[in-house]
Amino acid sequence: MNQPNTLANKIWRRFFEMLPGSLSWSILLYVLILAVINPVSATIFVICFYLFWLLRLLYMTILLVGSYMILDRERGTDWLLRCQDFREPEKSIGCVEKRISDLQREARTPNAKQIETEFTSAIWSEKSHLRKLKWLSRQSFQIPDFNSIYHVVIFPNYQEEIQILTSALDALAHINYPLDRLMVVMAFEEREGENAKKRAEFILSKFKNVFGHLMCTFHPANLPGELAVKGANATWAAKKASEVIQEKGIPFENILVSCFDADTCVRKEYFGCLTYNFMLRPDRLNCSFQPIPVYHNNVWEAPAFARMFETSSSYWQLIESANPDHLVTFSSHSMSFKALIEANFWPVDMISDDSAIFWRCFLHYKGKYRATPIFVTLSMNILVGKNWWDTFKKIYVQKRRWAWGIENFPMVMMGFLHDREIPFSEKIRHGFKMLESHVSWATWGLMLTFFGWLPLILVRLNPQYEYSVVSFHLPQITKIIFNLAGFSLLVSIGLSFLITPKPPAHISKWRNFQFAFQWFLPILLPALLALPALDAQTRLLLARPLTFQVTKKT
Amino acid sequence: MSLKTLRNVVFWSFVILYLILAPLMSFYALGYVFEPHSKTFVKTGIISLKSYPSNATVFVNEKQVDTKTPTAISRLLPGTYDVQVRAPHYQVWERKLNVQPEEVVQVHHILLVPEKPSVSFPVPFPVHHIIPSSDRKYLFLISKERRRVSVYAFDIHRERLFRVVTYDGRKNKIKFVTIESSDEDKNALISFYGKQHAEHVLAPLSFKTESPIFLSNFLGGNISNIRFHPHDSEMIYFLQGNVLKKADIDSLKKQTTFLKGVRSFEVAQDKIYFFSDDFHLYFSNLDGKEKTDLLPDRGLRRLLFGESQDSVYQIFLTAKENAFWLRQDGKLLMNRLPYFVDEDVKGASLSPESEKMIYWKSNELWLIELEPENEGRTSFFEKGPKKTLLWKGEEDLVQAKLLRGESHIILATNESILLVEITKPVFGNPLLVWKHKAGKKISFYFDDDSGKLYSTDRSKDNYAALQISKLLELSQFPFSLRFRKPYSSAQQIDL
Repeated sequence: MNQPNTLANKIWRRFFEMLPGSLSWSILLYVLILAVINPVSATIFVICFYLFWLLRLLYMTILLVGSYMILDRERGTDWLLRCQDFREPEKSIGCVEKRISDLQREARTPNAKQIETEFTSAIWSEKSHLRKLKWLSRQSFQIPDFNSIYHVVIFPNYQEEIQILTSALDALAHINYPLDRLMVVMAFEEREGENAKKRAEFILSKFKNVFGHLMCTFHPANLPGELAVKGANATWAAKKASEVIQEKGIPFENILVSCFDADTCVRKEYFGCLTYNFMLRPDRLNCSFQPIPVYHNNVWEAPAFARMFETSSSYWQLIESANPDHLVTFSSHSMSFKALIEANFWPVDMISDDSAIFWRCFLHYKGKYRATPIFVTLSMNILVGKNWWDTFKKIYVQKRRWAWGIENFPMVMMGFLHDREIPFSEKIRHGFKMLESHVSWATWGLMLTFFGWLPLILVRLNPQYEYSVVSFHLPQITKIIFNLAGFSLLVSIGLSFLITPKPPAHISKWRNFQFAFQWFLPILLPALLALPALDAQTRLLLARPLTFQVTKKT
Repeated sequence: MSLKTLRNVVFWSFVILYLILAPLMSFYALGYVFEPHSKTFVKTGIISLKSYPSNATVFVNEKQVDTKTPTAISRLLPGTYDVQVRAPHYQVWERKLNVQPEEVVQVHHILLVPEKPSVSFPVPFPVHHIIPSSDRKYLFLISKERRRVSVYAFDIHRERLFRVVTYDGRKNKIKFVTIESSDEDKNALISFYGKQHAEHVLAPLSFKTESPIFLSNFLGGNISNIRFHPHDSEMIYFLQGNVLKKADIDSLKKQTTFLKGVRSFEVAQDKIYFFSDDFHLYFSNLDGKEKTDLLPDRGLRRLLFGESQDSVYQIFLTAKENAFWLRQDGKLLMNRLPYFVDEDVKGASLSPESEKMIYWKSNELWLIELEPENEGRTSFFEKGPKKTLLWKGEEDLVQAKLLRGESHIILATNESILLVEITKPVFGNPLLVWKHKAGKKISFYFDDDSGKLYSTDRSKDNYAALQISKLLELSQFPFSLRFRKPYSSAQQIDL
């Protein structure tokens, strides 16, 4: 993966660094200039873009609903029981069929009418499991023994409050997976000094004997070749954990490693679901597992616009999960420890470690690596600042850090350039997807918010345009398109109520009403989402790298 | 069907939908329709109509349109259409509109005039002229009986009247009068220019009976011109001989001299514009400082002012710092190339936004569009200001006003008051909307805010009275332009 430092490579790398930002700015400037010199063409461009956006929005809404339905279907699934079914799939088929017929019989009883949808979901879920068992019974690959699968959970953190860390560990302590097969690594930064040590001591004493193994690591500062990024800390912790694993003699093939943000609270069925999906896949060692991040830890305390941003992130991940061919790991995720070691751990000099590890593995395994969606949620905190403005700034910094994921593009493209084994079509598909998604992120919001009105605003430069049929039709078409897009908005509102946990008793009904109304508030939301991406791409374009800024959770 | 297949089916369905809809929507947006006779796609146009009042019925080529105003009739093949807008108790509006492919004919200013406009006569004595005060609170009504000239103030909102001043011109026959009101219409300055001398009067604008002050008693004689400070209603500027002075009206004898060698002056746009003895035209700030020569070219000055240096000029200052001079002999000049605008001009007025100017000469009304100056001073002014003939009738014009929104003009001829609709953006194509015979020497004022037309009316037994006809609901116009004080000079009325 490390290419020789030749002039040609330097030029290619710089080209790939400049490409996303150049494209985004070119698109924005193109529309702007076109609106000035030829407003009719600009209007047609805007109409075609709006239509494209509408259809894509509707398509994404379908994927969103589809993903949500799967997520909802599996909400009450007993994954551990299902993992047991994998021991002898042929024999389990009969049991599952019996479970389905029992459920169907029960669903017909008068008492079950009230919870009919729950039965429908349960039956649907069991049928899906049955299909998988039947498929497994026809396969010849070895399924690992459930009892031999271990989990390593790494929490890289820096200056996080102890309450945030203990909440995450409390949630972990209440999972339904055997805790003795859980190794928890609290990854502190040595540069934090005494503070980190005190918190480590507190955690070690509080959660003593809760997990199979609990350890705290202290990542030394300024190691050669490293930047002050989360990936460096996680890598240090993973290496320390691997030493313990080797001592214990557990094969790395049987270990799944999860790298969680410090505020990640897992659902009790998370590791069951993860193990189920791990066991199910023949290519399990060449797989990352991506759960759905939701931001519910402080959802009722966060300001409306902050909720909007984070809910949008959850929705995005749900949509991405519906399309596993293009899925890339994001935020908290899990993967095989063996793959982690073979890909040389998380990058220690990149900010976007979550997606970078996927691409590292993808290149290492010559394209034979994928991210699998797992339909279980991980709950995190919504960023909240001291006040409205502070919250906004924190969100901006966080989104810009996410958008800095575009730093993977030159790395991946350079990898593709020097690779002879990954199919060309795969290179094109992934390269285009990565470029398209980041350029869309930086441009769509601005185009949606401002460019629709641009020809009308610039009418003074070309007064004749005001009297053209096309300028007359633009507001009409825009109105129809935005009205149709309202359908997607209604779906989003509905889903936000379904996904969000019920409000605690102290939350007023007014707050609940605000929760629905929040979706109509931020007219500028698309533009606000686009700006951090444009910022990140411009930095890459101008070779002004971003430094890792921790957005502390409260 | 697997989820992946289902997703692919949905995805490709959307792709196909886009490939079908995008060209269709683009064609629709550009105004294309399928013409079954020729089996080709043809470009169409649109007629967009807005009327005041709205909800009027529209007929196109005598066929009623389903929707009411405001409405747009789209997919019209290129050609001429006879369009009528009808509403009960209003006169029918009718125009022939020429539809071009890919173009929208916007007629967004259709004023439906009542069949029987309500008219009232609130002033029971002859009125010769109507002049609005600077803040549009009052109308100054000038009444002349033999040689006595009276000036009244008519409160527009309360419709009440009080006398401002009466001047007996038996010993000094009055040639013309100028009237100006101060900031917020607190005081008025009325100048009676007689055969022997001019008399300047400062009068409070109030229903309380307060005596006017004859300024020559305090300021001395030989005052040719007097104006208010634009923001301080207690401060006046006056030209005594060739010295420009200012004084506080509470202590008139305490005067400050601040400019010498001045032939005439005007206060506008927070500046003092003045002609110097050597025929330079300057403007300065309100303290007489930061003097700038508007016409530094000597040859040009001679060309403009040399041939009749004693002429009286009416000055119009526009929002874009263009200055116009209307000379006594009817020559209209401006301070930019090509300097000469027109001759035989009888009068001129600025649009409410002071961005356009209209002037009239016998039976013609012309419009000057003052476009922004680009690229220095060459491109636009080399061509000269854009002049458009707005109206040509049979009767001589005496007064005209371009209404706010620039869609209509009110004209006074020797016999009638006319309301004429003009088209935009290319001005012209006038349509006579309403005509009222009001006798000779008509003077009118149209209040853009209330939509009321105030005029003198001599049609009834040769009796001139103030007539208010609320015939135009112009206040309903959706214009957001803020009202600004006009930049023209104090109004001069020949008697």
